[in-house]
Amino acid sequence: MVQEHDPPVDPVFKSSLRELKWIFVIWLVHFVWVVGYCYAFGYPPPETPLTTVIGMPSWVFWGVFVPWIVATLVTGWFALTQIEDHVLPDCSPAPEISRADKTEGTDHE
Amino acid sequence: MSEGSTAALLTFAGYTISVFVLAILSNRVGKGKDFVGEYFLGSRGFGVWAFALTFAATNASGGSFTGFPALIYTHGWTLALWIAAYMVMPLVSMALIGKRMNQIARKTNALTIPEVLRARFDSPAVGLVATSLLIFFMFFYLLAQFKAGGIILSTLFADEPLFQSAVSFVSQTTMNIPWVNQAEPDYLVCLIVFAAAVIIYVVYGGFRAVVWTDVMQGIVMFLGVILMLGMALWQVGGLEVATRKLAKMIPPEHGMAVLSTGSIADSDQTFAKGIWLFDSGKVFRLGELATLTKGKSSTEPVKILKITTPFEVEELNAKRISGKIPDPGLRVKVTEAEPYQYGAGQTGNYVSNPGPASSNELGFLAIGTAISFFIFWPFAATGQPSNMVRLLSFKDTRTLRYSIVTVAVYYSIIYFALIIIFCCARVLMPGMEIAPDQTMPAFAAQLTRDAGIPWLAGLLVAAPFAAVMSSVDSFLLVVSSAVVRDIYQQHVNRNAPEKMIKILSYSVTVIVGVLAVLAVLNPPQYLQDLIVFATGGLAACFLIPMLLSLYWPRMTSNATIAAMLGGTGMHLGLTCYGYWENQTFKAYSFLGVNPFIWDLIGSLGIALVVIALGPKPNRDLVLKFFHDTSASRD
Repeated sequence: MVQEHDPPVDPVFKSSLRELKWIFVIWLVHFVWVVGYCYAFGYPPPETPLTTVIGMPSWVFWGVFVPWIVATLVTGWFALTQIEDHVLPDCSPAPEISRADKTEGTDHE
Repeated sequence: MSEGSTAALLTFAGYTISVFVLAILSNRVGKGKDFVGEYFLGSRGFGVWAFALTFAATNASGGSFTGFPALIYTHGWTLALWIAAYMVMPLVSMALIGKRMNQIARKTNALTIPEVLRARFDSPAVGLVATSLLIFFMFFYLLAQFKAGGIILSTLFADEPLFQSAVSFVSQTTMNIPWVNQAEPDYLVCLIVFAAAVIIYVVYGGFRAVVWTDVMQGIVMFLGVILMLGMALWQVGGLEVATRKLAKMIPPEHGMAVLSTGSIADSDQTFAKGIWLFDSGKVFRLGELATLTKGKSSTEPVKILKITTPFEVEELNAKRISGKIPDPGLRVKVTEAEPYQYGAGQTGNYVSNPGPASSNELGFLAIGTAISFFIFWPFAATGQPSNMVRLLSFKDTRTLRYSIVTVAVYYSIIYFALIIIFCCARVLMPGMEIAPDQTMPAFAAQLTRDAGIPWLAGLLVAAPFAAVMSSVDSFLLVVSSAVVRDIYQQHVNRNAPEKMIKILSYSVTVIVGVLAVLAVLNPPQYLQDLIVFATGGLAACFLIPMLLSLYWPRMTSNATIAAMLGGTGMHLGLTCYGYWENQTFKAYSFLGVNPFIWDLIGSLGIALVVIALGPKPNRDLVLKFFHDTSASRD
């Protein structure tokens, strides 16, 4: 799609795409941790004795509470150090594209 | 007039005054700026606290303070897993599209979500389809929130003599007005008060007032939750005690019973919903108003709830003996018992998954449902236009970054605290299964009364009211902006003067609000299901098209329309099939998978097919949105 003489890729697009991929990874890691741990330890057979950590059932502590704290710390780290800052455009109205240029299917790619 | 009830009225009065003050201030700040940009987007100038709290408050709708507490109370600790995806929700819903969408909106001067899509493809058709679907789904959402506002207020004012006078006046005034006279008068009064307050401050202050009031509402919610957490833990004796007691609890039993006095009644007697009934050591709670008519010794069968946890039965009997709970002296003959389908007669269900359930033999949260919710919460939130539009309003990327952290910390505290609070409520306040949606106000009243500070109940109850208000104002503005900006300005009069746009914006906001009020005078039977329908529908319609539009240069206008219609079509199809299959207004879970995931697959699938078969994207648009054209000019 990119042609030889095209201007460089938009830096906001480039960094946003990279961040999007990492956000999916962060979500997936927590998904596996929370659902995996809770499935293994949070669905005990009837009459299983209750074990608690700081007052909550141990499956809540290790399967929800700890990952929640980790997720908050990771969110903080990611937002403060990994998301790139950019100067966003001013809000002046964009020039209209002429109808002649708008037909889809022009020789692109 | 009780002290708590006066406090509630004063709190509401103080709260409403604050809201109007903020609206007046925001109107002054907005003067002299471009009207449309200011009214619908606050001139894109919001910093960290305003942006973070408006995002957090809008997302935490009335459900967080009415439905969620009810679920925790009814099913116990399993709700921690149910809501767990909120741990990544701020990151996903704000960072996935925030920076990129804000950039494109600024580049094209777009103020609404349909406008962003229209500008991205320079296609009026894309904008029109997006606007139509947005208004369609959003209106359902608006209805549900208006109804919630009316209900919360009627709970708040129930014991007020002034309120009762207003109810009787309205009842007499509206008795001959068709449609309106079908509404319960107390609900009607509260609905009108609530709607008038919201419409006035939105019209007067616009988006800036909405954001500023969201900030105040976010703070009220936070303070309310923290105060309740402290009082609940103190009164229950610590979290360890609460969890150990929960582990010993047995789900109660719903049923029907005939109540009798043992003698013929010489006049009509009524027994209020919620009173306790004691018979031969057993304890019941009355689930509806019961009437003993003159000349009879027993009532017709009425709803009751049988308490089955031994220590609760002991405590309630002890309170009866000490006179803390009145005993109406009725005999209770159970005619119909409906034990929980999962967890009946067993201990340990409130501290483990899947949690007790009265109408599902698999329990409340089977593992498949837990998986679905971990996908649904963050991605459905990302696809909500009311959230997306906030992502157009931050002033720079630094604001976005710091706001993500703020919302993440805010949600961690609020939602985990709510789980702990209402697990404590399950231990401290038995029998709320008769009216689970009243759990929050009832527990606030009990906590403050037992702590000897009943006046504080007003502040605590203001939290759910703030949550509903902050959602309603946002939806109202999203719908009216869709009409004014995306329909009138785009398709009727592109060069309309600012005065005309101003009048139209105010009028549309008022008309949409009034229409919503008229529609919820007699809420449809399946209103709660309509909320789920609207949330899922909006995400199904907008998430995939927006993601592909922002991140894939090959995305085309045809594919965007197809993805919106594909997601919507799948959502409507599964909902219709679910209705046909189960006679309930709930989307069908094909292969046991959450319908939302099928909606996304449908939306993505059809977009890919159209892209593969259709024309290539416009080169100028690709250059404009995916390349740094300013660099080439330099």
